[in-house]
Amino acid sequence: MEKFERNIQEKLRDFQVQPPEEIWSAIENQLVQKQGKKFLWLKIAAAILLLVVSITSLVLYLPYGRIAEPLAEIYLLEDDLLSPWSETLVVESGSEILSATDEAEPVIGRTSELRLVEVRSTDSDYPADYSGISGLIVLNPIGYDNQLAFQYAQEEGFSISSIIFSEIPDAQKFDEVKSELMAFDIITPGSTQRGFALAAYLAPQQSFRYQRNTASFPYEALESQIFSFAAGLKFHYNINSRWEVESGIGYNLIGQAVNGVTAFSHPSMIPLYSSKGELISSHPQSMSTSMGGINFKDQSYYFADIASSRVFALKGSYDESNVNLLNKSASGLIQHFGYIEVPLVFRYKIIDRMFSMSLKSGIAANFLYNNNVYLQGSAYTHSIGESTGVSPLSWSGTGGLSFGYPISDRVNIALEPTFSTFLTPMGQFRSLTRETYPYNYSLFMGIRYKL
Amino acid sequence: MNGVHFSTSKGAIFFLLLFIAQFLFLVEKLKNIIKGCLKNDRQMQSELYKMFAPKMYGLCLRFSANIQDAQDLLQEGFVKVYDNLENFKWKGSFDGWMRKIFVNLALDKYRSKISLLSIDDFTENQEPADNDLNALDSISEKEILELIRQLPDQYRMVFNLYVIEGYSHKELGEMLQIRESTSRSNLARAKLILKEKIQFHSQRIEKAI
Repeated sequence: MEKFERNIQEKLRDFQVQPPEEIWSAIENQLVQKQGKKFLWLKIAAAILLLVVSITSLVLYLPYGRIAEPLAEIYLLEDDLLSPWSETLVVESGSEILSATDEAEPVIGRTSELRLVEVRSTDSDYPADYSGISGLIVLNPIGYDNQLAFQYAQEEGFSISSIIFSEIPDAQKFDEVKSELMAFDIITPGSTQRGFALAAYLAPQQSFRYQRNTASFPYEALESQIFSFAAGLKFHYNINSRWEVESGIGYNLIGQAVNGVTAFSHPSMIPLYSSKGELISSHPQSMSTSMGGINFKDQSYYFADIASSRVFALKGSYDESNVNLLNKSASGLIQHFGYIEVPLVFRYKIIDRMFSMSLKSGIAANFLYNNNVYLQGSAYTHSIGESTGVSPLSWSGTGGLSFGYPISDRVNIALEPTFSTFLTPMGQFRSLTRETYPYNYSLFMGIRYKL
Repeated sequence: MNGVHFSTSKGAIFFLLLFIAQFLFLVEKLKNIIKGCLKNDRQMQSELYKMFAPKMYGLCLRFSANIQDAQDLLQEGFVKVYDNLENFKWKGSFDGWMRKIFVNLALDKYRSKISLLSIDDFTENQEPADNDLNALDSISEKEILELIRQLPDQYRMVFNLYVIEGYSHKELGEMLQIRESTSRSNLARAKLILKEKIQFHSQRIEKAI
C-alpha cells in the first residue's frame, strides 16, 4: 500500500461524524413498527373475533331473540281497521305474541288501535279453552290514554269486559293475559320485522384532533381542522322493533391542516448553505406535528417553518435572496390518514312512524390503510411525504342521531348527524403524538335496502 | 507527596492496569447492552446506537454519494444490526462485526442501483507521482469525505473497500462482480481523481491565504 493510501486510511478508517438526531427517532420508529407488525395479525384476528362473538351473542341472547317462545298467536278476524284514528299500522295474521317479560318496553308515540281478533294459546300453561276465543283487543301502549278506544268500543256495542275477550273463563287469568297482551308490541309488516338490511353511506365530515396533554405541544394554534369524508357498506340486523345492530366495512379519511410551513426550491439544490456558508440542511427533512412526525420525501423542495421552529433540518437562518420561495404567504400542509374501519353499532328506535328516529352508538376498529401529506397552496396540491409514528390499529367510539324515511317497501333513506372520536391515541409513541385523539363531526347520508 | 509518588515503571504498570480495567469495563458494558438489545429493550438499543453511530456514520458517508443516502444507510444498517444481533457469537470484535454488516449493506445498495454503463478500464501508467502528500495534510477529514462522495459509484466502492476497509483486489472482484484488472484500474482512476481534487483544493487554500 502506498503512502497516499495509508495516509487516507489512517485519517478515515475510524473517523467519526455525529449523525443528526432525527435518525435515531427514525430507527426507533422502524423498530416499533416491526414489533407492532408481529402483533398486527393477532390484533386483526382479535378484532374480527370480537365482532363475530358480539354479533352472534346479540342475535342469540338479546330479548326477543330465538330463545323466546310465543305464548299465543293472534289471528285477525276482520280485515278492516276498526279504529278510525289509528295510524298506518297493520296487524298481520299469525303475528307472535311474547310474554310480558320478554317484551315489555313502553311504546312511545303510537296511538291506540282496536282489532277484532282471535287468540289461540300455544302455551300448555293456559287452559285449552283459551283457543278460539274472539273479541276486541286494544293494542295500546302502556300508560297511553285508552279513553278514546273504550269510547269507540262501547259505541260499537262491545261491553267493557269484551274489549279484550268476549268470553273470560277466569278473572285472574284474564288480568294476566290482558296485561301481557297490552304489553306486546305490534310488528308492522315490512318495516320492523326481524331481518337483514344492506346499506351504503357517504359522510362529509369535519376532522380534527383533541390533545390530552397540550402543555407539551405549543403549536396548537398552528394546526386546524379539515374537511374530509367517510364512505362504506353496512349490514343491519333488526333484533326487534326497537333494537338494531349493524356492522360492515368503510373508509374513513381524517386528518388536519398544519399551517405556517412553506416550501421553496433552491437554485443549486443539495446541499443547502446558510448565508454564512455553513451546511444547514440535507434531506430528508422532517418536522413534528400533533399527529406524528412528517418525513418530507419529495427532494425537489425544501421546507421552512415560517411561524415557529417545527421543521427540524432548517434550524439556522437561510439566505433568502438565494432561494425561490414557492409560496410564502398562503401555504400549509394537509395530513391525511385513511382508515379502513370495521364498526359495531347499536341503534335504539325512539320514534317509529312513517318517519323514524333512532339513537346510535358503537365502537369501531380502525386499520391504517394510507397516510399522506400534501403541500397545499392557493393554486396547487402536491403530495410531499407521509406522517410517521402512527399506530396501525386504533379504536374509536361513535354516537349520533338517525332520521329515516321510507321511499318504498324495501328502500329507506337516512340522515345521521354523528360524532366519532378515537378512544386510543393515534400514535405509537406517546412522545411523538402527544396523546392525540382524532375526532370528527359527520353527516351520514345513507340508503338502506331490506333483504 | 507521601504515598502518591510512583516510579516510572510503577506508573506504567498502574496505567496499564487502569487501561485493562477500563477495557474490561467497556467489554462488560457492551455485553450488558447487547443482552438488553436482544430483549428488545429500547433504552439499551439507544445506548448501542449512541456508542457506535458516529463511527458508522463516518463509514456510511464514505460509501454514499450524498448525505441522504448515508443517513438511509445508517438507519437501515442499525435496524439490520438489531435484527441480527443474536448471530453475533463473540468471536472477533463487535466493532468489526458491525462494520461488516454496514459494508455488506452498502454493497447491496450499490449492486441494486448499479448502472449498465460500464466504466472504461484505465491504465495504471497514467498515475501521477505521490507529490501531493503535503496537500493531504492541509485538508480535513470532512473535506476528504466530501471528495470521496463525489467519486463515481464504482470508483468510490473500490476505493473504500481496498484502501480503507483493506480488502484485496481478488475479493473486490468477487464482491463487485468485476474483473480483478478492472478493480485495479478503477482504484487507480479513483486515486487520480482524488489526488487532483485534493491538489486543487490545497491550491485554492493557498491562494486564499
